[in-house]
Amino acid sequence: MRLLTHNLLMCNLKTCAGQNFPLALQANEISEENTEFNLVLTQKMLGKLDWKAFHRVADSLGHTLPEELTPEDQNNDELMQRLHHLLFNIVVLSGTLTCQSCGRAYPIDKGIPNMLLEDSEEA
Amino acid sequence: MGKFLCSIITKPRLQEFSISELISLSSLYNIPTQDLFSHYNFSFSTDQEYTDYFLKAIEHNPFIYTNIPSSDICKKIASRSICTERFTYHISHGDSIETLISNTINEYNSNLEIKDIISADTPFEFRFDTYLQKISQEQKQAIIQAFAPVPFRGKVELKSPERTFIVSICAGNMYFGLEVARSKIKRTCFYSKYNLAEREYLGPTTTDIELALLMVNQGQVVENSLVLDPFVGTGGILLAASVFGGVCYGGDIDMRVLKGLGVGRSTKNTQADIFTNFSNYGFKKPEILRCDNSTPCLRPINFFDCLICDPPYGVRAASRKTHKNTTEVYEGTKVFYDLLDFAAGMLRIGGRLVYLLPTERKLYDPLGLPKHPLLKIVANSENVLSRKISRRLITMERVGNAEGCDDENQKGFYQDIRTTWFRKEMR
Repeated sequence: MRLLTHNLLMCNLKTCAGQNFPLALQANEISEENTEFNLVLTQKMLGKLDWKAFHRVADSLGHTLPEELTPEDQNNDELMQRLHHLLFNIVVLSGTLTCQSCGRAYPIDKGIPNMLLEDSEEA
Repeated sequence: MGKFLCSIITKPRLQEFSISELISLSSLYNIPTQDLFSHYNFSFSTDQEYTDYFLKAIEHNPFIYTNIPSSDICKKIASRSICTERFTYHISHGDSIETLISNTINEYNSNLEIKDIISADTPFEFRFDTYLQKISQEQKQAIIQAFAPVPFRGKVELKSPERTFIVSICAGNMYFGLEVARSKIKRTCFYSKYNLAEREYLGPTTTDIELALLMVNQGQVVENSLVLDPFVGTGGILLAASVFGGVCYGGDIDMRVLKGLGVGRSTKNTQADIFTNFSNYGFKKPEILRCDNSTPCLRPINFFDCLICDPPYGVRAASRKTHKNTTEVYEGTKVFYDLLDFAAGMLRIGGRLVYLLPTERKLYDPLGLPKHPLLKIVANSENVLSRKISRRLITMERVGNAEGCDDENQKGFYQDIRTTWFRKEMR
């Protein structure tokens, strides 16, 4: 699971609606890929990211990002390279994603988050 | 705008998708359908009418005049198309060799661009493209000799010609033009290396590469497109999306497929999983989630440019809405409720949903197709599988505002499909 995906995932229990995002990430094993810097793709992501959630998850992994983005930032090459690295190169191989509302933990195994609910959990 | 003759592939299995694909790729390069076919003296108001008309026409004659701004765009289309074989810059047409030659000379005298093409001093060759008929070596010689009065200036060069003139012959029509784009070179297509036989990881229902690429072309996937297949299985569709630079996401309910246990298998006795083919081809690994589309776990923020999938209707692979390994049959039409709702939340405005829909031919009614107020059907091709059954390739576009389709109506439509298309024996 790349950090970009963390920015998309939410708890799917209906009772958590409104507070189902972001999930707290506990990363046990991380690998770093080496995909080529793609400025256009990174800039495209800027408009789609929930920055607060991304800022927080990056921070939890020891990467400090600016609190807020300004429109000029998309021309800041150094920042865009760092963002690309964080969004596309950092892959969480194992760990958990935990809903901060209900405490449900979703495991990540072999890089694949398991977002399925148990039968008993269905809303 | 230029007049280019497009020759459509003549494999019946692919022909059924060809006009939709041509329209979709043209629209990707900003050519509206009415402009694309503006060389004809008729016009329709919908893409579906054009599609129906030309699908009939190509049964007898696979050559279509297209109005495309430049030969570069022809090249771009041919470089990713499954169904177009060649584009030629159109010079002349005739119903016999005599009229073809006299029309060529007329064009030479009246059209400067054509005069330049014919009188260019570069080596060229002649090739023939025939449909439903064969011509002998002698006939070819005779046709080439008949071109003697046309004032070519370049040398005829068979080994390494710089230009290729094409004489296309079909059902009493002869076309003469200069080749500008070709999708096959020595019988090899751009996608030959992605054939299933070449892959290390396969499942029993992995989408074949031609169909997967057709779907990706309907989805207009380009470099950096965000693509999601919510029924990813062994990843055949996402692999095709990667060919054009898509950034891929896949979801599946079955962990065994994703991890290469049981259902998917390695063809080479290696430890293979869904990521294996992607790294073998040097594509970026897709993001994979184990999830259930009836309880979405992706925020509905209109993130994706394109959703492409072959939903499990229980026709090829058993559809399951399961937790752990217990099974519960995912009722055929419930897949639609979920898929269309899900797509409406996932797609950006203008983004596309492309999916396969099996239908019983006798009972098919276009009005009964799954509807959603935020998704508009832009293409619908029928691929006949047997006398009774066909599958349709449906393309829908996410619109900004709901268009006259209220919830109550929708439920009525779904009800219809449930009782007709998905009878028990189809499961």
